[in-house]
Amino acid sequence: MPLPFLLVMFVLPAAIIATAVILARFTRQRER
Amino acid sequence: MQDTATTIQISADPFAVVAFVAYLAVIVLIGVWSAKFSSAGVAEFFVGGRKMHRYVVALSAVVSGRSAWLLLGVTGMAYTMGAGAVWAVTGYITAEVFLFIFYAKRIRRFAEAYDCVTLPDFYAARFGDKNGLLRTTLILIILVFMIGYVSSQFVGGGKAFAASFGLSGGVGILLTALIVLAYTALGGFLAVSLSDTLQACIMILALVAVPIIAIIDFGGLGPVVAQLQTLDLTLVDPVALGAGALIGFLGIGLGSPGNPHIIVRYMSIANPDQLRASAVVGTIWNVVMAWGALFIGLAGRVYFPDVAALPDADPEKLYPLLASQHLHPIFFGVVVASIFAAIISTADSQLLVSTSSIVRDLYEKILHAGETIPQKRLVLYSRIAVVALVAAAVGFGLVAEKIGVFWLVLLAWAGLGAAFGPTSILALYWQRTTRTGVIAGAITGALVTVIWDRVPALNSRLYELIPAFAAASIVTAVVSVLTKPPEGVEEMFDSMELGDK
Repeated sequence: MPLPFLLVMFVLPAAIIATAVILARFTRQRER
Repeated sequence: MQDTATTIQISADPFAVVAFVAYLAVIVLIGVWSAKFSSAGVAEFFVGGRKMHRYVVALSAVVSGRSAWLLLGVTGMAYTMGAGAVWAVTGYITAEVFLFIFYAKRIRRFAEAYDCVTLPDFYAARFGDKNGLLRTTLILIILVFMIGYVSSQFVGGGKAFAASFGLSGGVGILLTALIVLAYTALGGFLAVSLSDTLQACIMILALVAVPIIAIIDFGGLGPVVAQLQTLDLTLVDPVALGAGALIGFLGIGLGSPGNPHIIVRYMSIANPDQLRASAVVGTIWNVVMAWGALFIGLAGRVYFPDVAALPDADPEKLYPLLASQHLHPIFFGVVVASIFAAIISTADSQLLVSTSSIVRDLYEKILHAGETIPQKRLVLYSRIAVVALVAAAVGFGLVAEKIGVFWLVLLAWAGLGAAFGPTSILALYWQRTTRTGVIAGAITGALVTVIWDRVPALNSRLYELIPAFAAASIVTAVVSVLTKPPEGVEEMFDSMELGDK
């Protein structure tokens, strides 16, 4: 399977979800 | 965003009809159940009394912004161009992560501190609006774009209704409008949010099941990708579409912070600190639905390499066709329901925002400014306004159906995004923003959108939202700097950060 295809179809969506989780945790810690 | 309709009939199969009718019955019942709560006052009718659960806010915000464009448009796009279609969903999903985490909390806290029910309420409280000019400008922009937006949803739903049950287009539009009218007028924001949540579940179920089953039936993802490479190598190349198209696709995300029917969802959450949980759930939902749509398009291409094999040779009709061939009829009924869910979950939210502009902003805050109007009467007027707006949207839809109205969806997404996106972001984050700057910026965003859209030499190069967003940002900033700095802004910014007035 071509690498660019793997990146956008699997890594990119996981990265977006990870970004949301990290930002949610980061902002919670900052507010505390 | 663009909508379209299907021509796949379900009327021949009793299982599919039962699944579909059960879905419609449940959303109308939600309207009846929500009626008592929403009758208490305008805050209940238009923002659910700011008592919405974090997951209801998450799902409602996500599906209000996704019309059938996702289910039919993105699947068709992935069918046609392959992996490059990924950029059409990446922009708005990424934008909405940041909206949920940062923007939403500020506007929600400010809304409670200054009793804002609508988006124009927020601007009027933030900048002051004694003569009503700011509010009037915003109401006009909302109504101009929203009537066309709602009409196009009704036309899309009507066509899908008509094609699925073999009815005429006009009857389909009326049925779609009557269903939306019934639960929106009765149950207000609560009914709209709860029905959106149910519809989000139907949409994700269908968008996960269809590609997985279709890919398994073909022998797995490996054979699907190998077949795509055999057909055309660019189908598995995500950057084959070129930089211009890629930027245009990502630019769709600029519309999210400016579309009032999305923003008002953020204002409705019970506890703004819980928006972080909404962000995670909303993002997971956005990602799974979008990538589900992309995989449907890719799987569809290996089953139907030639577009002529699709109904009317239209790639946007791939999704229901693929579902009809791979699912049990009762689940196919769910797939057809998911198309309606996408359409009406957007239409109901837009309808409520338009109604709030008329009753809350125009009637209560401009025509009867300073007067105390009984809340029950305002709710009654709101219900009457919902009926009037549905009638206007249906009338417009019936006339415009013949000339096509789907271009209005992209235009309205851009117009609202450009008028409200830059101005609301600056209002929330830049203390120096002024009322005159916002009026100038909002008008610029709306006008540049319409002008760019009407000039073929411009709109063929770039989606109008990108230049309109840029122009509105610059004009708002420059006019703000050139006009008198506002006073008492520190207290407002404290309320955005701390939640107290």
